[in-house]
Amino acid sequence: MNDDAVASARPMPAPGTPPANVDPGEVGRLRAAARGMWRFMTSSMAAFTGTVIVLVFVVVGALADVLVPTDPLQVFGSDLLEPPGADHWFGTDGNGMDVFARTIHAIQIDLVISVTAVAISIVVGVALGLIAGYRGGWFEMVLLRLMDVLQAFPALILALAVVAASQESMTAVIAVIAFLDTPVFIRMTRGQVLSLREAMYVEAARSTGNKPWRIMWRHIMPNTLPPLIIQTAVRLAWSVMIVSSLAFVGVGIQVPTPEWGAMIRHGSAFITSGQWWPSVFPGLALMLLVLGFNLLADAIQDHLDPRKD
Amino acid sequence: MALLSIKDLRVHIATPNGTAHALNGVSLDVDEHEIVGLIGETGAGKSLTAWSVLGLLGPRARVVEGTAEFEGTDLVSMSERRRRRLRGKDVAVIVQNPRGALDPLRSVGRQIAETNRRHRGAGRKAAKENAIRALRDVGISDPARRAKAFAHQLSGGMAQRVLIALAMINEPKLIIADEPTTGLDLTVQAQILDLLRARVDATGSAVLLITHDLGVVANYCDRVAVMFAGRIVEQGTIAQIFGNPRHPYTQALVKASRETLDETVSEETDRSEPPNLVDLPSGCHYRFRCPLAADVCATPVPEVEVGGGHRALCHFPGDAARDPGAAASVRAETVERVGP
Amino acid sequence: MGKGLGRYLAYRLLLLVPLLFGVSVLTFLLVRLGDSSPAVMVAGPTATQAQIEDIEAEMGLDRSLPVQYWTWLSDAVRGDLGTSWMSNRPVTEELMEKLPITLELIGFGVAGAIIFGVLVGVASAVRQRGLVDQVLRIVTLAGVSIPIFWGALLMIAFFFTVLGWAPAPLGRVERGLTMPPHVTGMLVFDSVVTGYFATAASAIAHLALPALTISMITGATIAKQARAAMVETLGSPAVRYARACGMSERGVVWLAFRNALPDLIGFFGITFSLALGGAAISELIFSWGGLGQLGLEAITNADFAVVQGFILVMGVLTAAIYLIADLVVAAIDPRVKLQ
Repeated sequence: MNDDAVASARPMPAPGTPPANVDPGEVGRLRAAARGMWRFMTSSMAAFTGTVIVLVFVVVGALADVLVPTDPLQVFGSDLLEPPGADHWFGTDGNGMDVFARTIHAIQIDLVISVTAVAISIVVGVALGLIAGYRGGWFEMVLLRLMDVLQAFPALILALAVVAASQESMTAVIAVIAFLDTPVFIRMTRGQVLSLREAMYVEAARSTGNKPWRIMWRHIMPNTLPPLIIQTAVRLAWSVMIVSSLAFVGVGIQVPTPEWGAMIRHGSAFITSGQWWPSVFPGLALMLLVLGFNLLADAIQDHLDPRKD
Repeated sequence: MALLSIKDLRVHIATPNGTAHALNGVSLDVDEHEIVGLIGETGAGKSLTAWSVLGLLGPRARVVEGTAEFEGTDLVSMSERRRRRLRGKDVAVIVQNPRGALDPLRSVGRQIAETNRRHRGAGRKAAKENAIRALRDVGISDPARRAKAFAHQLSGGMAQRVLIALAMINEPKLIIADEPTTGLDLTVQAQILDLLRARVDATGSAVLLITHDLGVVANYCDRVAVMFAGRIVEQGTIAQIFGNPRHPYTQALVKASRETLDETVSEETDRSEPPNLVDLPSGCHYRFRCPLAADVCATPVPEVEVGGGHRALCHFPGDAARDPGAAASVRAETVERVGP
Repeated sequence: MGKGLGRYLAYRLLLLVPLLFGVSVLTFLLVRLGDSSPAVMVAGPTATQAQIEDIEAEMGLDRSLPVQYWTWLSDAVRGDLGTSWMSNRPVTEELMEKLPITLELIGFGVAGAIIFGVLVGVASAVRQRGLVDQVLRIVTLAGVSIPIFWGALLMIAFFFTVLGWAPAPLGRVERGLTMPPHVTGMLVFDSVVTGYFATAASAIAHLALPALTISMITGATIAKQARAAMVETLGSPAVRYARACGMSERGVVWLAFRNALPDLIGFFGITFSLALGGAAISELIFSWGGLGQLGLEAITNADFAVVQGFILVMGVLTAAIYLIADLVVAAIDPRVKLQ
C-alpha cells in the first residue's frame, strides 16, 4: 500500500519520451511509478481532478510563451477595461493590458516562488526535524520553543512585515514563505522520528553499528515520506495563497509584473462599478490552482489511509 | 427453546480486494443460564458473529443469509428501533479495552446510571443509587467515590469491573463478552472471569464468551464452539471437546495448549496463515493445513453428530479417520452438509 | 476539580512568560531585519545623508541592537510604543482605539465561522460517504481554496454591485448618523446598549458582508477539521460500545461530538489566529478602519513604530486565544489536568 503511494508521488515521466541511457532496472522502476501514479489518479474523483488541475497548470505555465504569445505587459492603448470578447478573451484591465495573457503568464511566477520556497523548507525542515528527533537535547528544546513563538503570530502578518521591510522583494517572498513553511516539516519529521526511534528495526540497525546518518537515511526517511508528500501538497496550496496575498496588500511582487494577487489588487478598484473581469479571472485561476493542490493532498491522504473511510 | 439460536448465519464484508466471506453458515445455540465459549484464531469470525447478532456490523459488512433468534424473535430481520431497545437491556455487552470503550469525558457512575435510566426508566436519583450498588456488586470498594472517577483514572481491571457493572445493571438475559480479558494481567484476568462467573451465577444471565484462550474456556464455560474461517467446526461440552476432540483443528488447538512447554511438538502445532476470506478453498476451509486432508475434503463438508450434542464439521470426524482409507467406516451420523 | 483547574491555569500562565519574551524579541527584530532604515522614511526622499544620520541618532538607531531592544522593551512595558510618523500620534493610543473595532469584526466573523464550520462538518461526518457528504466536502474544499481577499471582492460584486443589498464597502456605518457615546468602542454593541438604533441598524448592515466573508472562508477550514474529528470519534470504540448499550443515534452523534470537542476547541484557537490575518486584509477591502487596516497601511508605508506595536498586539492576542482555548479544553476534558 505504502509503496504504491510513494511511487505514485514521483513525477510521471513525460509520455512518449523514454529517458535516455537508463538501465533496464531504472525503466522498470519508472514504469512501476507510472503505474502507481495511474492507479492513484483513478482511485477517486478527487485524485483525478487534483492531478489534472495541477498538471494543466504546470504544463500551461511552462509553455505560456508558446501557448499565449500575447505579451502580458503590452498596453492596448485604446482598449482600457474592455469586457471579455473575441479580441481579449478575459477583457483588458485598467492599464489596457490583456487579462488572459496576464493570468496565464502569472502561473509561472506563482508556481516558481511556491515550489522553490516549499523545496527549501522541506530540505531545511526535514534535516532539522531529523536532528531534533534523533539527538534531542538542548537543540530540540530551543527549536521547539522558537517554533512556539513563531506560532503565536498570524503567519500572513508576519510575512507582510518582513517582505515590506526588504527591498529585494522576490528573494524576500521566497525566503519568508520558506521560513514559515519550515516548522511544519520540522514538527512532522520529528514526530515520525520519535515514533520510529524505538522501533525494532531501527534498534537493530543501531545495535549492528550503523552510523546515525545512515540509520536516518535508510530506515527513518522512507517512513516519513507519505506524510511528507501530503504536507508538501498542503504547503504548496498555502504558499501560492500567501504569495498572492502579499501582492494583493501591495508588498512583494508589484504591478505590472503579471501576478494574480497584484492583478486582483489592481482590478479591485473597478469592481464596485461593475468591471469585474480584471479581478475575477486571476482570482479564479488562483483558486483553481490552490484547489488542485488541496484535492491532491486530500486524495493522497485517503489513498494512504483508506481505513478512515 | 434456546435463549439465542443462530442459524446458518452468513456475513460478507466489502474490501478493496473483493468480497470477504467472513461468516459462512454459523449455527450456534446459547441456552438460558449457560456460559458458551466461542474460540478461534484472529479473523475466524468470533467477534463478527457477536456483532451481527447485535445488529452493529458497520457499513461494509452485511448479513446475507441466516437468522439469529433471541427468545424466538429474529434479530437479523428485526427493525433497528426494536433491536436498540434490546441492546444494553436484555442483551448486554462487555468488550475488550474497557478504558477505550467508556466515554472519557463522563464519570463512570453517570454512564452506568444513564444506561439504567434509558432502559429501565429509573429516576435520576434511583439510577444513581443503582449505579453505586452495581459498582459495589462487582467488588469495587468505596463505590460512591469511584462512581465519580473517569475512565482514564482507572486501571484496566477496574475499568472492566465497571463494564461488568454496566452490563449487569439492567439484569440482561444474555451477556456477550467479547474478549473481556485480552490485554489484562494474568492475575487480573482470573479475577475478572471469576467475578463474571459469580455475577452470572447470582443473576442467571447466559453468557456468550468470546476468547482465543483455551484455558479460559476450560475453566469458565459450560459448552464451547470452535470457529475457523467463518464456520463453527466443532461444538460440544467442555468434557467432549477437551476429552475427545474430533476436528483436526480442535485437536491441534487442544494439543498446543497442553504441550506449549514441550519443545518437541512445537513443530507440529498449527502455525500457518489463516485462509484468505476473499478466496476461500472449496469444501473444508481447513484442508490446506490439515494433516488428514484427502480429495474428498474439496467437496461440501458434512456436519457430523458425534453424540450428546457434540458435533464436528469434518469428513473424517473419528479417531479411525487418522487413516484416510478408513473414512468410510465412520459410524457417526451425518446431520447435514455445508456447502462453500 | 476547581483546584486542579487553578493549578493548570497557573502553570499555563507561567509558560506564557518565555513565550511573550520571544514574541517581543521577534517583534523587535522583524522590523530591523529589513534593509531599509526607518530614518530614511522619516527623513523623506530629498534628505541628505547627514540629515538621515541626525534622525538615526535622534531615534536611537545608532546604538547597538541589544541596547535598542532594551530601550524599546522598557518603554513598551510602560505602555509607550513610540510615535507614528504618519499620524504623529502615540502608537499605544492609536492601537487601543482601533482594537475594539477589529475585535468586533473578528468576533462576529469567527462566531459565524464556528457555527457554519461545526454544522457542516458534523453533518458531513454523520452522512459519511453519502451524497450530502460528497457535496459538502466539495463546497468545503472550494471554501478552503478561496483567498479571503478575492472572496471579499466577490461578495462585494454580488451583494453590493449586482443585488444592491449590502451598503457600499466604505467603513462601519452610514455617514451622517449620530455616533453613540463610547462604551467599549465596538459600534454595534455601543449603539444597541445606548439606544441609538438607527446607528445600530446601519452598523449591522455594514458589518454583515465583511463578517460573512470571514465566516465563510475560515468556516470552511473549521468544517474540514470538524469532519475529520467527527469521523475519528464516530469510529471510536467508545461509540461502538455506546451503540452496543442501546444508545440512540442522536445520543451517539452527541457523544461523538462531545469527544471531538477538545480537538476542535484547540483548532478554534488556530483558526482565530488565521482569521486575524484574513480579517486584516478584509479591513483593507471594506475600509473598516480597525487595527488590521492601520497595521497593513503602516506596513506599506514603513511606519515602523506602528508596525512593531501592531505585530506585538497580534502576538499577544494570539497567545491569549491559545491560552483561553487550552483552559476551555482543560475545563471540559478531565484528562488534561493529569499532566
